[in-house]
Order: sequence, then structure tokens, then C-alpha cells
Amino acid sequence: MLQLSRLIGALFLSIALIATVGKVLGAPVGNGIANVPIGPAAEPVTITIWYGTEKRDWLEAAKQRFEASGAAVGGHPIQIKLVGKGSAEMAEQIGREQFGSVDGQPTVASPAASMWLPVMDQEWQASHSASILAAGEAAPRPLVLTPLVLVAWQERAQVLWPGGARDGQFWDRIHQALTAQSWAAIGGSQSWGQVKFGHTSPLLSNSGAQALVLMAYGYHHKASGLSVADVTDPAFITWLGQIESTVPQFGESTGTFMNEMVLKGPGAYDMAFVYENLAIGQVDAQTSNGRIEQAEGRQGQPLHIYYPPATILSDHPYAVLSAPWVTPDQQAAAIQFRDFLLGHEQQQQALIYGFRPADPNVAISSSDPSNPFTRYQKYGVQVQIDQQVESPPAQVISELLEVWRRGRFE
Amino acid sequence: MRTLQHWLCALLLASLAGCGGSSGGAAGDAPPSNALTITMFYGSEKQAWMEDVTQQFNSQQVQSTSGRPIYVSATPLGSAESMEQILSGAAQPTIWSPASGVLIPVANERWAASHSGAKLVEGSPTALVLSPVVIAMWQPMAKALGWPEQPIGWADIAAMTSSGKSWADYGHPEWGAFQFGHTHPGYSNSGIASILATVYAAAGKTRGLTADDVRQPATAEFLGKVESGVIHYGESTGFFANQMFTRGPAYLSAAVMYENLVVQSYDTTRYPSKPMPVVAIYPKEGTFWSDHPYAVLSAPWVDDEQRAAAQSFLQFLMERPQQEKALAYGFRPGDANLAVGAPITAANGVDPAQPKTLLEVPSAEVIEAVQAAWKQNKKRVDVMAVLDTSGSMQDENRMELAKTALKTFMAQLDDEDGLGLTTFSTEATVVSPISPLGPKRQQLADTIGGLFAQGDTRLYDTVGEAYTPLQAEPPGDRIRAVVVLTDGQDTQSQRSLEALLQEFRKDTEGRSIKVFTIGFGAGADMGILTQLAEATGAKSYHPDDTTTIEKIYSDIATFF
Repeated sequence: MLQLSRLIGALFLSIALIATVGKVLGAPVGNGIANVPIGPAAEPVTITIWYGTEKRDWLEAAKQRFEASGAAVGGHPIQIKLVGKGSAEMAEQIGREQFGSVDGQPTVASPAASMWLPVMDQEWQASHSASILAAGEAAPRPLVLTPLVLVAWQERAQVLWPGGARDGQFWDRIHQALTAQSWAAIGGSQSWGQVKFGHTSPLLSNSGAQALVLMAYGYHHKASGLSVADVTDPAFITWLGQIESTVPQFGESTGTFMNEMVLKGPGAYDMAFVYENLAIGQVDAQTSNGRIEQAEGRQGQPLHIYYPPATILSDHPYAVLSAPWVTPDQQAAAIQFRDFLLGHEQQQQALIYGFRPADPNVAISSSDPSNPFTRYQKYGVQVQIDQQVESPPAQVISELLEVWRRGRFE
Repeated sequence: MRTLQHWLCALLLASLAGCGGSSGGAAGDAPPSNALTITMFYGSEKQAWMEDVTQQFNSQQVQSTSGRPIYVSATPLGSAESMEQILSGAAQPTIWSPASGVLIPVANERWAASHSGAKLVEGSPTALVLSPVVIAMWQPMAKALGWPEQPIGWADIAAMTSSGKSWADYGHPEWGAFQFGHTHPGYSNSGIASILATVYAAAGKTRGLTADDVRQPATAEFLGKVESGVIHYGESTGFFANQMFTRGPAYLSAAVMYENLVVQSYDTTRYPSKPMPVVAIYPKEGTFWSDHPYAVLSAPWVDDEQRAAAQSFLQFLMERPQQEKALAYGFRPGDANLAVGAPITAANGVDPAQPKTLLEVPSAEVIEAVQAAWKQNKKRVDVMAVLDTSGSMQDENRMELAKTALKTFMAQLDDEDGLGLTTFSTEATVVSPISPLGPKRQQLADTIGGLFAQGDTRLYDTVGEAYTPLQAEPPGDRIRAVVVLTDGQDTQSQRSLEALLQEFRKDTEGRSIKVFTIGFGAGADMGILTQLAEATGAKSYHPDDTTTIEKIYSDIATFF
């Protein structure tokens, strides 16, 4: 684990890409699908995509449409096998070539954020002479973007931030609430018990590592220039420990927090850091309700989305692998599917699942009633993200994870 | 109330239409000959729902990856007990669904120790259904404590059981002693929840419990005092609920169970003579969720086809019709799209807006420390084992089987527990009076080994003679019980069955002496044995193909 956390730290640098990727992405690709007539006997080309589970619904739907479109390579129909995985697990298993008989060997890796690609590649290169990441036309490209947000039960959040969450008091009040003996001590109801905060384990999950970076910036009241001195500042370490020791459980999966909040209500977590898409994405085919809407239906009170003073984005890269088991046909098929995902129609669909399109030409806000960015504004969803933190240098990240690991907050 | 009846009626009709009868643990008809069978061990609290939906799934003959019909064989079992069986290799199910996730880190830690660090349960298993751990209490009693205006917590219950206070201190001398119950933490999830909550109360914390907190002498003392108020333990939360709702407030004032069981108490078909309403108390310090995780085991005995079949079954369980049924059974659905509505309403003694806060689930290390502390400070038992040694016990090797089972029973008792042995045939003999087991363990085992069968069956007198001395003792800090095994009907006693039952019914002062009965062989009159056991709030057993005499003695030991 230590080695992995160091790797994560050393390679976190690539998160810097995330902040800018939305802006620098070129024109949408959308090459269209080569509709080559397919003979009845044509063998399919199957590509296996290991992906961060946060985007399951969007990818599953896109796969159906893609396969139904008659997509083919060299006259062979393309079949897609989707295998959902946690980002850290994916990086480790691919890097070490640990493939189960069910999951199969991946053609493509699509973790939650670009930071996991070098983690994977470094593991791979420990026993191979070349990178596992394909270059050129097949080089990794972000598919969709999503910021890390805080979801909190509105009634309780109003006690936490009577003047609103964006009054510069965001982190200070969270710290104050978590170090108080109970909600009652900060003006809430005695029956709410202690203040319960959640995020995933920074050593296992992308969102947990992101939450830690936000906390470090939050403590120092800045959004750029985080230094080793900042994260090793004893006062910061004490402050961090006071927050982290109150987390009931650090999960491996960001989806778990969202799920617990919906199913168990404010008794389980008062607030948690999750991806924006998990909070608002539509997950139920029958009701078309997003998580945040389900939460209100289930618990009889609204959850609200709060954006930290400066947040951080996940960019969901699509990385075609350059591995001995990937054939040229598979690589071509993988590129075709990627271009399909980056096409206008699928990027528009991504919106409905709560993602921000990687294609800057697809508007986030629209009058479409199914657009959650419009529909869930009452729950605090914002189209504009005011500020993102600057990705700290690898050394800073590495040190920060080490501080967390040494603190044994788990 | 009416709403609940409506729900339950609809449910009953649906299940009758769908299946036409239940077949016990493994729901459904026999598997098709080419079936892919997957096995599941699950917390018994969800038995009614599981049997209903499993039968339905099996009848659909969903195809496995190799095209065989999937057949699910699901067995209800206490959560801690199923964990022990899986870890020891005695049971090898495909799916494990304990009552809550509390035990998963414990299972993973112990599994890793013998499997090169591998996990038994990977990731975050889906919650099938949910129900908070609550303290079920008779509504008038809760009101006497000031509920609902005055919230009640674990510390209040602990204070009541440990202070020696009775209902007389709350203006109700007619209710007698405060009788409290929870299940055995070595077998059941709600028992673990109960002792964790008690230790939190002892430490004055609601999070961040450490092994050091548990090891404090004050914690042990507090735990011991609370446990002294417990009438008996048991492996099944459902059994506790059943006893409480059937036998009324003289038997139990309050017990730790799940919200769904409180809802179930309002089923007038099931509990036609429940004397007063029951309410769920959501402890003010916080509680735990029973979230029924569905874990497909990462064990060598689970192959890929079974794993895929287990996923198909999970998908079925999470579909709306099955989830709606779970709600009708009083669970909060695992499907987030379903709102928590009827029958989870105030009219059924529960509050869908609760719990408002939780106790933190401690680490595996702390949970194990709490279990160890409980084992040292639990309520002790004085039990008289009464064994039929009449001539017919020679038949079918019964005597030898009973002797082996008795020794297993003995092994489950601690040195401080009191055990006595009485044999009876034409006459009764107190082979060993009740006294601490520690010093006489070996000697008693040797004596049991030397028993043989001859003579008549002097049942009622012997049971009466074992029972009376226990009754003469004032209510104290030990569980008291008589465990009777017989293979015949009374042929020798002076006293009648009615006279014996009368004596049992006189026990109204909270002594709670339990008479467990075991009918061995076809000659035992189970009707009479059941009457004897039920008159004391205990259980009656009859070994069959699936339940050995040894298993029965083990089950009885869980009450202590």
C-alpha cells in the first residue's frame, strides 16, 4: 500500500491536466461510424473496457446504441464488454497483469481521473520495456468531466452555514462542527447527535485523494501554491486529524457514500464528498429520478449540493492500451467507440447522467427538462464552477498522503 | 393497523397464488435435475421475505451462463454463527447475507489471516433491505419512562437494568421487575449491536471507541450489571420478538431487535392476543443499521458460473416487485427509489424519520474486544440437565447420541456456569447437583460416559423436582433453566401434567426459570413436551433428518 500511495502521490501531478482539459480539448471528433455491410458469418471484434463505475449508466446506454448502429472494423462487427472497477484497483490490476477469467484482458482503461494512468503505467513498466498507454491517435483523451462536491442535508447545512456555504466559512465551519461535541453545541437539534462527515479513503479512491487536497487548500485559505511546508505544518496536521477522526468509515467507493445517504438518511451521514454526477445523475429508469431527488423522496427532506470555495475535477480519460494482447483491429475498434462517445449525441447524453461534457461545444445548460443541470438548480446545482484549485506538485501530494497514512485515521 | 392488515393480506394472497405453500429453509420445490444450485446463508430476520421471493425466483428458472436453470437454496442462520461456519469451512455458501455489515470487516480480517491476506468479501455489497436496531418496549412502559417527550437511550436502559430498579420505581409495582433481553452476541447480529451500544454507554462515547476503553475495569463492571438484567440470550432475534409479543410484558419489558419485527407485531393474524401495543425506541445516543448486505463470497468454492448466477439473483431481489414486498414485510427497501411508507408508520409503533443519528461501527479489533469482554461479564446460568435413562433409550442408539450431545452442551458452558445432572427412569437420581462446572468438568464427563439405560419413565415428578429448588432461590443474577431429554411418555409420576404446569405458571416474580424439552424418538409426546416448554417461555425440540440431538443442545446453549 505504501508503494501505491507513493505512486499516487508522485503521479498526482497529472491532475493539473484536469483543470485545463475542458478548455484545451479540440474540436469534437465524431467521425461517424463506418457502416460497412456485414456478412452473416463475420466474426465480431470484441473490445473489453475497464471503467470507473461512476459512469456505468452512461457507458452501458452508449454501448447499446453503438452496437445497434452496426459499427464494424474491417467488415467485423464491434462488440463491447464493459467491466466496472474502482480506479485504484483497475490501475493496480492492469499494471500487474492480474486478470480474472470473468473480467478478461482489457483493451481500454477508463478510470475516474487521469492521475491513475501513470500509476498503472509505472507498475507496468516495472516489468516491461514500453508504456502500456497507446500514443498518437489512440492516446488517452478525457470523456466527461465532473467536480467534487459536498452533499449535505439541507436542514443541517443551514445550521452549519446560516449565512450560506460560500461566505468564506466553508472549511472553518465544517472543522468547528466536527470538533464540537454535538450538533446541539453549534445550534442544531440534540437528536441529530454528533456531526458525521464522509469521504472515501485517499489511498484507495480518487475522490478521497481529491478531498484531501481540497482540505489542505481549505485550511490555508488558498486555491493555488500548496507547498510541502503547508501540508507538513503541525497546525494543519492537527486540524486535519480532528476532521478525519470523525469520519465513520472511509469507503473504497464514492457511490457507497451517496447510496448510504439516500438509503439511511441524515442519521448516517450529515455530509459527504461525492462526485457531482453521482449526486444528480439519473439512475432509475422507471422514475428518471436523480439521486438527489431520490433522497428527498426517501427521507422526506432535501439533500443539497454545496461547491467548495475552490473545487477539483475528474476527467474520466479513455486510454487505449498498447499491450501484447491488443490487436490492431481491437485498437481501431476502441478508437471508433471513443470517437462515438465524444460525438455530440453521446456527449449530450452524458449530461443527462449528470456529467459535464468534455466537448466544450455541448452546452451544459439547456431548456431540456431532462437536463439535470437545469432541473436540479433548486438542490444547489451550478452550471458555472467558479474556481478550481491548482494541482499541487507531486511531492506535495505524496507528502499529504503520507501525512494521512501516518495519522492512521482509518 | 388496518393498513398493515391490508398489506399482509395482499402479501398472503400473492404468496398463495404464486407458490402454494412453503418448504422451510430452502425455499422452492426440488431443483430441476440439470440445475445450477447456488447456496445462500442469510440472517433469519428476513426469512419470511426471503422464502417468498426465493421460491418465486426458483420457479422462473432463470438461465445460468451455461444455460442451466439457476436454483437458489437459501438457509436462515444467525449472522455470527454463519460467519463462524464459513470461516471454519463447515459451510461453503455462494452468498452470505448477514443481518448487517458489522461483521464483514471481522470476517475479512480472520479470513485474510489464513488466506494470504485475501478478502472474503470484496468491495461494498448491496444492501438488500434495511432496518434499524431498536429497543422494542411495551408502549405503556415506554410512557412510564417519559417517552416520547423524553427520549430514551442505551444508557437509560443500562441504568435501569444495572440499578436494580423495578417498575415500582416508575409508579407501576404491578409490572414487577424490568425484564430485558437481547440475543447471544456469539450467534446473532442484534446481540452484537446490543453489547456494542452498552460499551459505548459505559465509555460515554458515540464514536471513536477503542480497545482501551473496552478494557477499563469500569466498562467490565457496567457491562456485567447490564447483563444481569437480561432474562436469557438466544440465537435468533425473531424468537425473542415472538416470545415477547406472545407472552406479554410479564415475560419481557423490552428487548433489542429490529424495527421490522416491531412492525410485524401489529399483524393480528400472527399475534392475535398481544396484550398492549409495542413501540420502537430509537436510542437517543444513536443506533446501528441492519442493512442486510448481499455478499458473493470471494472463496475458492465459488466458481464463475455461480458468481454470475448470484448476480442474476441479486438483480431479481432488487427489482421493484420484490422490494415492494420487503416493505410490506416491514423492511425499508434497498431500492432507493422506494419511499419508506406503510406499514412503516406511527400506527405500527415505528417512526420512518428515525434514526436521527448512529453509533459508529468500531473496527474489527474493537468488536472482538467487546465480544471478549461480554464473554467474561455475561450473565451466568444455573442449569439442571435432566436425562431420561429408561430402557427404551437403548433403541436406535439414543443413549449414546444423547451422551455425546450432553458433552457438547457442557463444552459450551463456561467454568463459572452452574451445571447439574439428574437422570431418571423408574426413580430419579441427582447425579450431580447444580454447582460451578469448572472444578467438576472432567468428572462429570466421565459420569455421563458411564450412564446406561433401564427402567420406566418418571417424567413429571423428575422435572418438578429439578424445577422446585431453582424456584426456591430468590430472583438473582443468574439465568436458570432445566433441560429435559426424554424418549417416552410419563409412566411413573405421582403428579399430573396439569399440576406441573400450575407450578410453572406460579413463577411471576421474575425468576424466569426456563424448561427446555427435547423429545427423542417417535415415542415422545411432543404435544406435552411443547406445553411444558412454552409454559416457561422456553423452546421444545424434536430431532429429525436436519436437526441432530447435538445441534439441539448447541441451540439451547445459546440461550445462556
